[in-house]
Order: sequence, then C-alpha cells, then structure tokens
Amino acid sequence: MNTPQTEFTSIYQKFSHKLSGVATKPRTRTYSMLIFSLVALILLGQFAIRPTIKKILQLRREIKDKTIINRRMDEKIAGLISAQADYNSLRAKLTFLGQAIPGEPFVTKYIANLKQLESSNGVVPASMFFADVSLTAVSASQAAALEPVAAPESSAVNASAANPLLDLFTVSAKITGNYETIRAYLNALANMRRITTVSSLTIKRGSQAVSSDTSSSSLPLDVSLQLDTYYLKTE
Amino acid sequence: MRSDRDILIVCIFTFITVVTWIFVDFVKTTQSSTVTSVTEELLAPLPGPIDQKLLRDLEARQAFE
Repeated sequence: MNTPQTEFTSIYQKFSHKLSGVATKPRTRTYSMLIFSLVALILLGQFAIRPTIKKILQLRREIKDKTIINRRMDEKIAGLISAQADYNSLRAKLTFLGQAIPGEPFVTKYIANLKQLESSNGVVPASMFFADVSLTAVSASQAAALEPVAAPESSAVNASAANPLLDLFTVSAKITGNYETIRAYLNALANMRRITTVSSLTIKRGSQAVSSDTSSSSLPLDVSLQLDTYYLKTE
Repeated sequence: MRSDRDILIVCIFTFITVVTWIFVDFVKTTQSSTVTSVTEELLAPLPGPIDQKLLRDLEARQAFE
C-alpha cells in the first residue's frame, strides 16, 4: 500500500530525473541563465533600484527648490523691510492719494470746489449739471436689472471698461469770462488735487461784456466744459 | 528549444520596457517642481517702489478742505 509520502517521493524522483536530463543540455542551460538573469534584473530594477534612486532624485530636487525658495524669501523680506520704511516715511503723504481719487463720489463737495474755483478765478457761472451718479455699490448685473432699457453708451461706461478699479462722473458746466480768467480757471482745474480731466471744451464769443475793458483779451467768451472726475469702485 | 528562445525574447522586451519606464520616471522626478502654488504666491515679487514723485506732484496741487 502506497502512503502519501512514498507517492510524493516517486513524483519528485520522476520530475528530478526529467529536469536533470533537460538541464544537462548546454543550450538550455545558457537560455535559462539568460532568462533568469533578466527576470532578476527586472525585479531588482523595478522594486529595489527604481524606488531608491527616485527617492534620491526627489530629495535632491527638494533641496534645490528649497534653496531657491530660501533665496527668494530673503529677497522678499528685504523688499518688505524697504517697503515698510518707505511707507513710514511717506505715510503722511499717502492721504493725497485719497484726495486725488476718493473712495466715494463726494459730488456735492466736488461741485462746491468747482464753484470756489469759479469765484476765485473771476469767471461767471452760467449753468452746471451732472449726470447720474451711483452713490451705492451696484454691480453691473444689478444695474442692468434696474435699468432694462438699453442706455446709450456713455463715457462713464467706457471709462469703467478701460479701468476696472475706477468709476467716473461727469459734470457739464457753462461759464463766461474773458480769455485771462478762463485760462486761469482751466489752469486751476488742471491743478486741482482731485483728478479732473476736461473731456470736451467749446469756446464761443459771448454776448455780454465781463468788464469795461475793450482789449481783445477782455472780450467775453462763453465756455462749455465737460469735466470728468474719478472715484474708486466700491464693489 | 523554440520555446526557450521565445521566452528569452519576451524577457528582453520586458527588460527594455522596464528600463525605459524607470528612465522616464527618473526624468519626470527630476523635472517636476516641489514648490506648491501657495508658496509661489508668497514668493511673488512686490510691486515697484512707491512713486514719490507722484506724491510730491499731488502735494503741490491745490486742495480744498
């Protein structure tokens, strides 16, 4: 009676006999050696060499990146220190920026300033009016919803499109004066701290005399002005 | 005999594939940056210095209080 152990021994002997027969052939031995060497190289490369070298390369790259970051951080810190020093020395003057382009339209204040300029330069105001000014933050979509009728493209819309940070409102004014006073008035406008641009200017010979002098520089002139002034968008 | 040769050819091609794979992986590792986008934002250079001439010009202009 065959026990399982003797059966296994006989199978092993048969297999061993067959294998030793095959392994003795030189060609087979060469092929086997090559195949097993390649398999060993593949396994070693994929599961040992690749992760190790990859980690080394990652670390080298990280060191390189960190060195660059460190250098740029140093530059940035130096820049921040310099900017802080500049800010401290110019802090008092930075309020001029808010006066040049305020955060709100301040329409009445601006009109009062224009009136003051007119009176100080001796021009006679004939009329003054201004276009609609949004006093609260209204987004473009809300404005479109509020005003379904297509409005004609205004200069304000163009300015908004040109500079996404600024809004403007337009004041139209008619003044009368002689050449010298109007020149002084325009110079004063250009010299206002609040940025004002003259977007259109029409000069006509006036009907009423501004003074008793009859020289050419005192001839009355009617001037129509369109002034644009800017403020920061609040949205 | 024939099967030995076939196995060897398969092994050679597999070996070439694995070597290429490893090489590409190394190149990719070397090229890819480890700096995150947040760090890049932090490293963005500051805008230029404050324009002092502009502030002086504004100071020289007439202000109404």
